Amino acid sequence: MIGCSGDVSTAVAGLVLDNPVLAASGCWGTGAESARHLDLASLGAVVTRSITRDPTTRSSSRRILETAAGLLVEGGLPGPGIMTFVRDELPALLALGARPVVSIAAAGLGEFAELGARLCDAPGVVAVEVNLAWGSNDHARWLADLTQARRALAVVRRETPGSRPVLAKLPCDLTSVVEAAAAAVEAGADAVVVAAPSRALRVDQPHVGASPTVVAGALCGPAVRPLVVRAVWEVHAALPNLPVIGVGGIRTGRDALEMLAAGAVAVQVGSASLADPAAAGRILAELTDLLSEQAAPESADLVREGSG
Amino acid sequence: MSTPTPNPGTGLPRAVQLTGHVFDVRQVGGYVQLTVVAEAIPELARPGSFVAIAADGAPGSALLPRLMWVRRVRPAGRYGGTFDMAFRVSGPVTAWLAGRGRHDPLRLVGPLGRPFPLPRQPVVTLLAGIGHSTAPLLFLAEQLVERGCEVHLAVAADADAGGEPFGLVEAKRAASSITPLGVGAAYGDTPVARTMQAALERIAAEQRARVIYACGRPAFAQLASAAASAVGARSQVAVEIPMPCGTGACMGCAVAVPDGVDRRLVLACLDGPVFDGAAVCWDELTAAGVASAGSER
Ligand SMILES: Cc1cc2nc3c(=O)[nH]c(=O)nc-3n(C[C@H](O)[C@H](O)[C@H](O)COP(=O)(O)OP(=O)(O)OC[C@H]3O[C@@H](n4cnc5c(N)ncnc54)[C@H](O)[C@@H]3O)c2cc1C
Ligand SMILES: Cc1cc2nc3c(=O)[nH]c(=O)nc-3n(C[C@H](O)[C@H](O)[C@H](O)COP(=O)(O)O)c2cc1C
Repeated sequence: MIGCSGDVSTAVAGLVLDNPVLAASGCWGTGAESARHLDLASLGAVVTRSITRDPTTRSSSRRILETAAGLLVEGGLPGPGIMTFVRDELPALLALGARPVVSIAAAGLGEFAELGARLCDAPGVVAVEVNLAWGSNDHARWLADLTQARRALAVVRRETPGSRPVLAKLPCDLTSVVEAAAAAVEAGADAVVVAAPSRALRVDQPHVGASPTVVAGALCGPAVRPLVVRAVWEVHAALPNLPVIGVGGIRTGRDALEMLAAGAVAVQVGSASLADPAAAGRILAELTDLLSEQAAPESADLVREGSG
Repeated sequence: MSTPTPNPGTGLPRAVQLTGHVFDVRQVGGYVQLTVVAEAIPELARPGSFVAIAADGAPGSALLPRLMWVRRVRPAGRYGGTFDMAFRVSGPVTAWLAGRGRHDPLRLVGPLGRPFPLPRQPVVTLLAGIGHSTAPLLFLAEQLVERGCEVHLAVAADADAGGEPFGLVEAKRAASSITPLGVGAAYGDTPVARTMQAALERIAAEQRARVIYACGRPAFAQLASAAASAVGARSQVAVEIPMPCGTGACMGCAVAVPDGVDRRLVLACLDGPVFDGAAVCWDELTAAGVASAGSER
């Protein structure tokens, strides 16, 4: 386990991963395109973009705006729908040697149940990540009411084989991320992913008095890292037995190490891959170097170990 | 990252991530031409290919790469291979790029995208570009001429680019005729768009062009496609919609294409940017939001 000399393996609720660096949902295409720049099999796991029940058919439903230290991502969840995903994308991903965590998003409980059921017999899936916060308005409202979020997780847990961890991806712009994490566990989640991007806005007003144009989106990138580190820390402090996966703004091995030191058992690399498609592999290499430097016995407990 | 990475059996055209070096920067009219020494890219790039340039070194450290068409390549000889790109300074990143000096490193991914398909037989072709998007057409023109094709060029100036067309002087070598198309971003069914389309139809009919190749933002690409169908020619159009990453990672450049009676989404950066103009669902692409996203990204 991480912290012992040379060993970078980690465990997320019984799922043992060779290393703690995962590719985050939605930031590495479907596999083949990133495999041109990165060995997906070398990562602890890869989280697919959030798969919905039905395919998306509208052009450019997604816009990405640069802000000073982050990306504002607006729009829906482009994808082929669960059937095509299971038939075409999943096998292709497995053929690349990747360990897929499948992220799912839905507008209703019935849809979550269907997604869970369709994934149930799909081979090679190492875990299911439930996207409770991201995407179009339909998909976004789960966390407005923790009862709804609990129901969604319970449905997915019910449809998912017991040996497969269910991960709940939670944002940190909630009244209490700890409360949300506790609710997720109660509903059957085996681990939490902290944090889904926060809601953010860009308002452009060409001149005073003109009616402003508003872009509502989710904020990713370096801007959110300190917020995420705090949320990871708080959840870990309150629920020390709950495996926490940290995601948000990780661009270097040192950023990943900070997340682990704050209490995460693993990290996900997201938008860093947009400008550097090999980012996750580079960050893993940097982290491995840092961990081996720190493998001296007295510093071994710098990295906390999550319960497996 | 200084050596090219191999592409495993992904079924995708080879693209490499590497550090290139600036060989030359010069001003050509209102445009900057940058020559870059890089391994592999000059050998792999084809007309219609583009590169993604990491911009985190630019002031404000942009988080998204900047994409540029490959204008020309010179494969390795006595010196390393080079490729050219051309741009107009339109913001902080292009200003930073224009200020790079000889030997400065540039982190690149490329070549990206599926290039223009070349005709098997020598045919008469009409190439239509707007603003900097004429750059890949000049590269294409040289290859078409090598294959015995006749090339007619029609160039519009991009209103955003100060009304100056790109590459008129250089184009003289390859093109049998050059027609200026006027100025305009030409979104939608505007008088400018109608005039441009009519001009393309007229040239295509007069010269008996069999293929119209075009490059530009959706509205321009669409009008070139429409001109082709009006005169019974084929069209191959490179569609410059905002592509946040260029490598297929972010899925921010989805384009709907007909699929039987249905439609499906493909990515402009991966499955395009060159499309058969008759096989794109243009209505959504030219809707205000997408067409103008270039001013917001
Ligand atoms: C496939 C492709 C090839 C391109 N090739 C060229 C080229 O050969 N020459 C050239 O000058 N430009 C090209 N562009 C556009 C270019 O990527 C950017 O518009 C330009 O680099 C922005 O300049 P900046 O970063 O300095 O300014 P910024 O201030 O960052 O941007 C200037 C303006 O351009 C907009 N912009 C930024 N990125 C994009 C983008 N990817 N698509 C559309 N608009 C954008 C910004 O929102 C802003 O309004 C290409 C775009 C694509 C998608
Ligand atoms: C282009 C893009 C697409 C994304 N798509 C999804 C998605 O489908 N599902 C999801 O749960 N998160 C999605 N995310 C969020 C990322 O998984 C991650 O949580 C977020 O980007 C924060 O990490 P980062 O700062 O490393 O980018 C997306 C992010 C980006 C930039």
